[in-house]
Amino acid sequence: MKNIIRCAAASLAFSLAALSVHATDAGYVDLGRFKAVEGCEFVEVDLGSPLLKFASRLVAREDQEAAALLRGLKHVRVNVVGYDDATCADTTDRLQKFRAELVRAGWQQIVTARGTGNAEDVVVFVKLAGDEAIEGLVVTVLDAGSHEAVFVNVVGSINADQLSALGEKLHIAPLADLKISAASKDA
Amino acid sequence: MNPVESASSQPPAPRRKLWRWVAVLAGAGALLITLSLWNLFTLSRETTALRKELFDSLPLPASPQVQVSAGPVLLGLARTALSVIPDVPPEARLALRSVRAASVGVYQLHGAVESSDRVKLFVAADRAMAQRRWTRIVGVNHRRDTVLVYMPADFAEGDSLRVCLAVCAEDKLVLVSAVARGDELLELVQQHHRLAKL
Repeated sequence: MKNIIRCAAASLAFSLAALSVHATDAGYVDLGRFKAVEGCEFVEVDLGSPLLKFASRLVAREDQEAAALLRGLKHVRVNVVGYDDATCADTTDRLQKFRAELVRAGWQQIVTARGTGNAEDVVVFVKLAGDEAIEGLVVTVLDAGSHEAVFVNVVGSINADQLSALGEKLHIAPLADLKISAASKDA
Repeated sequence: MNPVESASSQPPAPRRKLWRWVAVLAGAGALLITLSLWNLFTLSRETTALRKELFDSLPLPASPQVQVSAGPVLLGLARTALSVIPDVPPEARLALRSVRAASVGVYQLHGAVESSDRVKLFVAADRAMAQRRWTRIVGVNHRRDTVLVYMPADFAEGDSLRVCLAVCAEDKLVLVSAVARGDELLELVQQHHRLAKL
């Protein structure tokens, strides 16, 4: 009985510790749980601070810029959720509600790129900590062509001019194409 | 008293004791070899738990093709053997030094894994690993491939890297777990970088 109580207390403490880490990070957004849909693409990457710091040490010799970027990060979560005709409405609705929640929570919408037809619908949000510093980033993409929704949350200290580099280093296509998207939007 | 008589009447105790020690050592050696062989063909605890949960969730029969583990003892022996072999690339020595334990299982699935089964794999694997306080850091479901990578939820910088992964591709299920020392992995990367520059 004592063991059960001890295990329960340890689990509770562990959960609270995990929650408190995220609660103190203004740039963290709870993306919730996504379920893979039968026959559809599904990708989930969830990297915490210790692993990112280890990764920064791994790449330090080869790419100082990438190492510096990774060192400043606390959490990276990427979700690519494929949808079919049956789940299309649900996924689109979830994405739109998520975007609306971010706006209500004071996140700044820095890029909006909407194409026609099957083009991508990209919206990028940032949580600012000062004039230049960003403490959180959210990329949302709805790609009607490939039937995919993409959610990315990067938590940590990021400079505005590092955004595109961050996308390249972490292979987050919408972020890597940020300059192109912004430029094409301006054009 | 005749000194010769006195000597012959004493029991030959030292020789009997020696045989007893030889028997104990031989028994311990046999036990060690049996345990090593058992460990060699048994997966690590995490991988065993993951395999059980995945097999339970799949409606297909599966048969093992390869199932092998190398623990600290076996890897230590391999390191010792490698140290006396000349002309071994330094990276190989370092790579072996960084790995503390490794476990690999390859299974043949008798039938095609349906999309709905792949979704079940995710749920089953997450459940098995969450019970052991491991968290999924990567999950991919792409066409006929499923990749799941887990790490201990309480992994801290400086800890040994412990990774457990499951790959279900076509009609094969591959399970791998490994424990590696982070600092030596870093050294390996740095050495590789140095060698690449030469």
